[in-house]
Amino acid sequence: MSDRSLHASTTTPWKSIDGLAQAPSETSEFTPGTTSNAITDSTVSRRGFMALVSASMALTAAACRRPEQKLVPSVKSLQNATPGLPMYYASVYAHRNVAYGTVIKAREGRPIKVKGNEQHPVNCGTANAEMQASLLSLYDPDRIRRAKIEGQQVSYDAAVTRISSSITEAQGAGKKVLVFIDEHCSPSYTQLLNEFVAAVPNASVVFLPAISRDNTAIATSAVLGVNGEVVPDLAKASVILSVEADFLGSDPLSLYHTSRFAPRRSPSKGGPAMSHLTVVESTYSTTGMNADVRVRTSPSEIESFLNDVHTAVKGGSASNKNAASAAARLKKAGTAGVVLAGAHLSPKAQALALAINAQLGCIGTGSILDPKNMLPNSGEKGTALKAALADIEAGNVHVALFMDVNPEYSASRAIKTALINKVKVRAAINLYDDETAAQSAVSIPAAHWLESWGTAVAFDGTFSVQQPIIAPMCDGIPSMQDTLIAVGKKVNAAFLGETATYADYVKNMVATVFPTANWNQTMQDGFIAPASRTDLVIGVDLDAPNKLPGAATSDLYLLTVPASALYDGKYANNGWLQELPDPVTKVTWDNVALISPKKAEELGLAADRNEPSSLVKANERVISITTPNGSIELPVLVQPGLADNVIVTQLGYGRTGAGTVGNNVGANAFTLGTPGYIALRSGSITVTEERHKIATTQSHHSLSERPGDEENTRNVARSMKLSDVMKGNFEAVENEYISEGKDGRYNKPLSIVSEYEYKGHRWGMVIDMSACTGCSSCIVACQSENNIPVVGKDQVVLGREMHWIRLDRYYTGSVDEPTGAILEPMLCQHCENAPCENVCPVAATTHSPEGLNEMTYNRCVGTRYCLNNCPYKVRRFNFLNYKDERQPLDLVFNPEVSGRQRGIMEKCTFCVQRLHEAKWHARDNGRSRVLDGEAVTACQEACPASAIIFGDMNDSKSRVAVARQNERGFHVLAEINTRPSVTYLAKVVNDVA
Amino acid sequence: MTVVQEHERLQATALGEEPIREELVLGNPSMRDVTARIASIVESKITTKYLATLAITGAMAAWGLFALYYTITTGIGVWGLNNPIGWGWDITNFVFWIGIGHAGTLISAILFLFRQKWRTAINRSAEAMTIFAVVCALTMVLSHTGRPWLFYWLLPYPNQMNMWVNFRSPLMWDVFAVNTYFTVSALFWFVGLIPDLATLRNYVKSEVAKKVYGVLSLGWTGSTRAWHHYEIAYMILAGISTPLVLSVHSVVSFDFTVGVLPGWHTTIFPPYFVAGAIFSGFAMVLTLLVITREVLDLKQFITLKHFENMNKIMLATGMMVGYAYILEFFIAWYSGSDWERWIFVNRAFGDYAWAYWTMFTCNVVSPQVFWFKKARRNIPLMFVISIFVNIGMWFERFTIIATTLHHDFLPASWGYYSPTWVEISIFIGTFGIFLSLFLLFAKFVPVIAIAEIKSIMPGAQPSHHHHDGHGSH
Repeated sequence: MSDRSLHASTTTPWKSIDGLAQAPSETSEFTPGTTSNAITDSTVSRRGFMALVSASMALTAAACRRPEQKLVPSVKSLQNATPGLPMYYASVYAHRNVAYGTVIKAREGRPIKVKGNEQHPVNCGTANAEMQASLLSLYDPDRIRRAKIEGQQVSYDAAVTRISSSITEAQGAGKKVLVFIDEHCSPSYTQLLNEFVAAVPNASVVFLPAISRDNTAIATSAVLGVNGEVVPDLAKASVILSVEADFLGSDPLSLYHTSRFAPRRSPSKGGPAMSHLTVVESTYSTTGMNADVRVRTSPSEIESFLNDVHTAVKGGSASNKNAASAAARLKKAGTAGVVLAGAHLSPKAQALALAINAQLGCIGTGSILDPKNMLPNSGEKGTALKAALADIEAGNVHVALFMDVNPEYSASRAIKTALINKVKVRAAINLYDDETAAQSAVSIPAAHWLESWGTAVAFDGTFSVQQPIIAPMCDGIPSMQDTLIAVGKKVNAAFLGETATYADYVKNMVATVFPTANWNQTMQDGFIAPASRTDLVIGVDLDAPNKLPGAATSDLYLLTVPASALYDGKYANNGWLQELPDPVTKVTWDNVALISPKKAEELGLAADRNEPSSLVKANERVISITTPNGSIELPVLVQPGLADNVIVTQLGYGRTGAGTVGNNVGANAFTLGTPGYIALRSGSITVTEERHKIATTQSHHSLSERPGDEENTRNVARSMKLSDVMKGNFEAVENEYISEGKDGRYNKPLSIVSEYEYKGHRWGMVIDMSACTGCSSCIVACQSENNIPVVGKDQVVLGREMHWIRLDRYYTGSVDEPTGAILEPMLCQHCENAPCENVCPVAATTHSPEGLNEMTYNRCVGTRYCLNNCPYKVRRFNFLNYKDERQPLDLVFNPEVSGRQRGIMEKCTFCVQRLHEAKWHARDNGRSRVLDGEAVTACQEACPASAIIFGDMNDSKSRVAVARQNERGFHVLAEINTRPSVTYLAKVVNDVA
Repeated sequence: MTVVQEHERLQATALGEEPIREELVLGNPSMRDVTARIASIVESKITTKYLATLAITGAMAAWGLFALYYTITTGIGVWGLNNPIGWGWDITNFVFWIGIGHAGTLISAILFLFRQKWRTAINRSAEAMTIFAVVCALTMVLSHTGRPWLFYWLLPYPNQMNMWVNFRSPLMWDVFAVNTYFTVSALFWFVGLIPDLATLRNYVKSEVAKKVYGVLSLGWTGSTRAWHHYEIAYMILAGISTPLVLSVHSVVSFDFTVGVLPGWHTTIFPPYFVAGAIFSGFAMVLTLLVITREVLDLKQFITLKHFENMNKIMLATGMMVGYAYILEFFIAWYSGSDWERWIFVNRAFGDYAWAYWTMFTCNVVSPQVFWFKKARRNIPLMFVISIFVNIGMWFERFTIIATTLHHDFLPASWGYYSPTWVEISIFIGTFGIFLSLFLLFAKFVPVIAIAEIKSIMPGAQPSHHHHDGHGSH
């Protein structure tokens, strides 16, 4: 602080430390390390002297203050970059075989935000949690920094040579080289691998995804005759029957599905008719929370349920009541009805779903299931893998090259054993020094996707180019494809000819495939729209389900599902994802064993399943689950709505080679067997005496019914029936308090103070709970935009998570049979009568003339009174210094948002930095007002459901002002007269179809 | 005592005229005896027992200060607070200590103005307690913020930021209320001490002590003129202190009532807090005086009569808080507000029911024994009850703060709070500070107002030598 005041007195005014760091060289006093010279060189003025004295006193008084900061100027300026202004680059996030268009925001040459690309037809500007959080992994200090041979750091060339010489060795010995890759959707990668195999004839490529979706491919090829996975378009579906298909949750394409599904969930005049969703499941998934009708079913009855539906759709009669009514709805919808089956279900079950769809007529060009929309590389992979395994076991494989796969963590025991015992040289090319790298002779860093070139093709044929935003940080080592090229060239000098890098390879390929495309335009757009695609010819075999194997039946099942945030655990070292609560359970930092209340009673964990306080006691008790493949211990969490004969747990946890963040978080459920249903024998569950803390962001109490609970929930998170919406009966959103007049549609509670008149902008938000599916991408969007720290499991256990936006989940129905759940995104309501503002003794939180409830971090002394008095409990206190000090993690920060010291309060700002940017933009364009849609909050931007609408309420034509007039609108806790700026639209349950 | 006074007293006794009021000073000591008796405490040698006790309380204080140091250097996160629960033991302790102080002010100011003569034997120590309790309260309130090094931002002072404090915040009112309270209490105490300090100046033998007491007694001569001014000053300060008895804890209660939370937002708090403060203050005075009286052998001056009066006040104020507890439930039901109803049901039957019922039993049930005169005069019993009341009143504040915060409006953001060792240590530390200061006080300052107590001894006021008309109840 002393620097600041002294500097301010001797040089020109300045804006921020960053601004100073970029200051041109005229301000010669201001160079690093010379701030103290500036003091001594200049004649000490009276003011300077006073500043010195007060500064030294302040320093004495507050010696234990914030960490010392050094100012470093940029010696070399960046090309084309204006310091202080962001640069945006179009790219693509291609993970597994799913591609989403992205726009990367970079400041001073470093990527600081991953957003969706509005032009990209698949995700239309929205972003899921994983792609946004992958930014944090770019700066992860635990990334493998240098190439290694036998654990010793070596030069990159040495490591590459080691691999190539091994391949040459193998060639000499007549043995094979296997290149293990993950599912991907990159045409250039596919082509490169093909050319590699051509140049290195003893090599072959094997897909080794952690979570296989082979059953889908098997069923599809049996019924439709095409080997792969057809992507449904839910915008066209009026009636959806999901049989364990978590298309809004753990499905890799859930971002796309949500954006197609949600618009039909929010009934409005002139909008599309509301769709109807029936979910049949043994677990309780994100999709289940969104169901209009949710059928809790035993895993063993899934096939018979589908059979029943099939029979009923064909015109027969179904014995199962739920199946009959689901079939009736589907039949009524005809081609607008669709059945989706979970990818983990048996080929038979999935084939049944396809057969029903064929019966309904929703398969075909332009229909919900258009075979053209095939996921790239989604064909069956198990056969090739089996063959590879046989080869390894026969001792025919000399070298195994693992590219972005981690079999040591996720593969079956047979594969792991074979790889360790039978393969001479193992080499890993990956982002992390993971479990597989630890077992490999050679380990080479791979560049992060933001550091490398690439291509991706989406299921709809959209071709995208991935461009690097920043130079590779780890020893300058380029992408894994570059390493493959280097290896290939060493083995066979003719490999790829002149092309030396993957960047050139990609450019050449784009030029070849799209001769008319302008490269610069492609870079700017981020993608090339496909030319017209040829229709895929399919032949429907309705009898196929009978030829396919069903699932083994049992009395008790274990279901392992991809974790909602971590999926297969590849990003387990990512704090943003680890701390992202599961949409249903709200668990962070762990996988747990979900069991039904009845099962808890059966296991002797709860004395009485009808007594919530007894059920709560079962939580956190550790049980041991044993299958023929292995055994793990997991803490129990009683989950309402689960089938009584299933135990559900999540994959992606229990990593040992993830890094300091992800290691030993949870237990590795891959060790129990192939992901999906695993039949358990009696005695495979044992209850231990141990307890394990589960870090949930929502108290376990919401499971229990307490006096007044139902009443409170009804008022706080409101829902209504579609029939009432259609009848115009909006009783559900009415308030029962005495009001004086109206503010638009809203009752104004009595007040003795006159109102402030908002003359300029008045920012407001509308959240449509009917559209919100609970995907949680808003949470990560906010975390990334606003520099929100990760606090760690211990702090979440204490209830100190820092997320500015949270998704409150309220079950409806009973503990045993919840009929659904209401998801209420909760963030600062920017109340006009904010209870936090008047109680702050130092006026650190105040109201802006534009209706924002502003938090002045510098002024906050941390009395926490505002937190106590906030009825929405959306304020977040920095109980400790939560900043992760490890380098280079600080590069991920958004420089437009100040960091927060311990001891101060923070909360949602409506992305005030973006509002300012929008206002500057308007001013620069000679406008006095920001246009509708110019100011977009981070949560709104990411939301695939378009459930968040933000804008100027004073502009009567703005989307937010119009949405505020929606008859489903209500204010949470309106009766205490806080007058929130956030309006919620009640969730609608479709009771009509 | 003059010959005339002695004569009159003997005559009255001879006539069979039993004193209607119990004597407030027993054993019929002479004025000189009184001075000698009380001053001898100061003059006597420091015993090992005293030092050992001081060492224990000092160690408690040091441990608490270490915990405070740890909190300030590491962050409030070392406490058990969390997201719904922004205040826990910190503010509970603050309100507890502020409350403790109230008995002192009541005794010194209100009972003075009402000419309650029995107050003279206990007012000095009660006032001392007030000051020490406020010191503890200040310790709690200054250290509870996230950035305690910026405490001065809570004061309205002209500054280069052009920032003024927020006068709408009850915490701001707190700053004024507590500062005023501390200043006035300290002044009042010190002014009352001047004649006694002069007595000590004349009495002590050590040169150093003479100097110290000399300086502190501000050149007191004991002249009529000095006494005249003294009496005026004392009366004015009593006048200023009197409203503080009501205002300080009312303002403290505003911290809660101004909030919007069910269980806080209630109009009954100011009177209920004041009654509770006096209740807890008397309990603490009683706890300490029972010990002081025994250890310093002050049975002559602090009699069962004093204790009985204090027990009556405790019974009365205890019933007031009991009434408030019950009325809160009625109002919650009567309000028609679901939130209000639910929070009170939750108080009595929720996660913190144990705290609620501890409070209820200690504060409402236990003082009921004081309906019986025998109980009011039974020292071991009243000692136990006073400790119960101390515990109960601490839990009252805890119940108000924690049960309200842990389950407020949105069920999704409910939580639970339990303290860490750091918070417990700080609480122990405040007791260490309080007791250490009290021990120092008991040794170096006259624990009984020498000059004042002489005025209520039989025959001290010739014109009212019978029973005086102003009453001593």
